[in-house]
Formats: sequence, C-alpha cells, structure tokens
Amino acid sequence: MDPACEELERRSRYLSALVRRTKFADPPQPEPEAKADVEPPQLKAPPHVGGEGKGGKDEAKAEERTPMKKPRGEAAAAEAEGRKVAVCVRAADMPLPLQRRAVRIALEAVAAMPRLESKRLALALKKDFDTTYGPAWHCIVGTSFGSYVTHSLGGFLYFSVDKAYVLLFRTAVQPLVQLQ
Amino acid sequence: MSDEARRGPAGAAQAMLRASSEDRKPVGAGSPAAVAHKIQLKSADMKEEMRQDAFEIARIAFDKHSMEKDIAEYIKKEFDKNHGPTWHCIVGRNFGSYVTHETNYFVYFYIDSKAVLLFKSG
Repeated sequence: MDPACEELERRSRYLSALVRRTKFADPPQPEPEAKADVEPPQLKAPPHVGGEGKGGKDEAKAEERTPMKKPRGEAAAAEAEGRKVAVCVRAADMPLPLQRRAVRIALEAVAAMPRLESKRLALALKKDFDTTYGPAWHCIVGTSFGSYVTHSLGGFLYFSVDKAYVLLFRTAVQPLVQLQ
Repeated sequence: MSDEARRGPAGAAQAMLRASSEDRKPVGAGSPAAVAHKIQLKSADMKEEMRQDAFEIARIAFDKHSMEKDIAEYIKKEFDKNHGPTWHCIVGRNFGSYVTHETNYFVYFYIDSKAVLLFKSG
C-alpha cells in the first residue's frame, strides 16, 4: 500500500501543479473531446510543488480552482467486489487520509450500485465528510460538467471513478448571527 | 429518475444552511433559439430579482464562452462581484450534486440543453 500511496501523492502534486500552471499561463484551451493526449507515466513534479499554500490558516479561502475534465488516461485499477474499477485523482488540495477515505467511499458506493447514480454518490460523500470532518462539504458527480468554485485550504479533491468524475470541496461555515 | 430537487436538513450544523441535491440526465436536446437562450427554471431558493440576474448573466456567459468551465467561471465571478462572495457554479449536461447553501441563495436551471447550478456558501 505504501507505494500506491506514494504514487497517489505524486500524481496529486503533479496534477495540482498542472492546474496551477495552466491557470496562471492561461493558454488557449481546445475542446477536451478533440484532445487525444494521454498522461505519460513517471511524470516528475516540478520542485516548487508542495510549497504553495502550506502553513495557511484553517478554513482560509486559499484558491479558486476549476477541475479540468481530461480524456481518460492511465488510471490505477482498484478491486471492488470482484470487478475492476478505475480510480484516478486528477487534482487535490487535501490531506492524504481524507483523499483515501473519499476514494474508498466512492468505490464502496459504486460497487453497491448496479448502475452509477450520481446523486446517491454525491450524497454519500457529502454526508460522510460533513459528519466526519465537519460542515460544509459539497459534492458534484457526473460524466460531463464544468465548474468553478472557491474552497477552503486543504478541502478540495477532484477524481475519476469508473466513468464518472467527482468534485468534493469544502467551504467555511459562518455562525448564524443572532438577531435580537 | 426524478429531476426534482430534494431539500431539507442534511446534517448541516448551521440552521441557516440547507442541503440541496440536483440530478440531471442527458435528454434529447430541443432546438435552441438562434439568438436568445431558452431558460427553464428547475429549482430555486432565491428571490425573483436575483434569479433573473442569474439568467441574464448565464445568457451572457453562454454567448461569450463555449467551454463549460469557462461559463461556470464567468457566472461565479459575476456573482461574487455583484452579490458578495462566496458563490459556486457548476455547468454541464450530466451531473448529480449534493450541496449545502445559504438560505435564499440557490438556483438550478437549464439553459438550452445544459444545467446550471449556482449557490452561495462560505
């Protein structure tokens, strides 16, 4: 499991850096369907990865980010109820234990459904994370969507499971103001 | 599969927050108007005036951009600017969602054949 974790972390860092670089460079974006590129294996993360955003305040809004839907490349295969389900973390700003938990819940949910139901998976993930790590989490699951969100530091994960993409992110919750 | 939104407490600790869920499946696309984008409201917890603002901004976004993430970006930024942070926007043909939003700041609608989910949280 350790090599798998390292691989997952390496991919997370690479993809986060890719998202950042793409965002900053603002290159022209061709339609995803037209792209045929596949993510090459053994990618080296640039040295600056990991330094950005660390040491920030809890719940501070650090970044606005948009997950990019990419053509399906090489993905780690995970055994789920005897059938292979591909899982690939596409972008992350989240501690590894939380990532693992999200992926595990997604795999369990997918295994329990004969056919993927986006809403049920979104609900399962959001409820578990709200309960386990405190509100407020938001989850989007689907095969075709774009998004633009603001998330708390350490509260962003974008991954694919089977044919669907999952966006899970956290926002700060303001205490209810008492009007008396 | 029902497209109706489900609303109600979903474990959120704050009384002013509500959870909403949307599920959209691909359907046969109707013929969009050449100029105006047809908008179909599906679910809202939002005042009429702000809702109309969302529709107008979405129309502009669809005219300006073709990629879903660019459309989502435009809509979110306009709302952050005009209605105070923090907004989140999802645009697409096929997605389900479960989110917590502030009271009075949630709208879910179709524009042409794509769904738009816009809500405030945080």
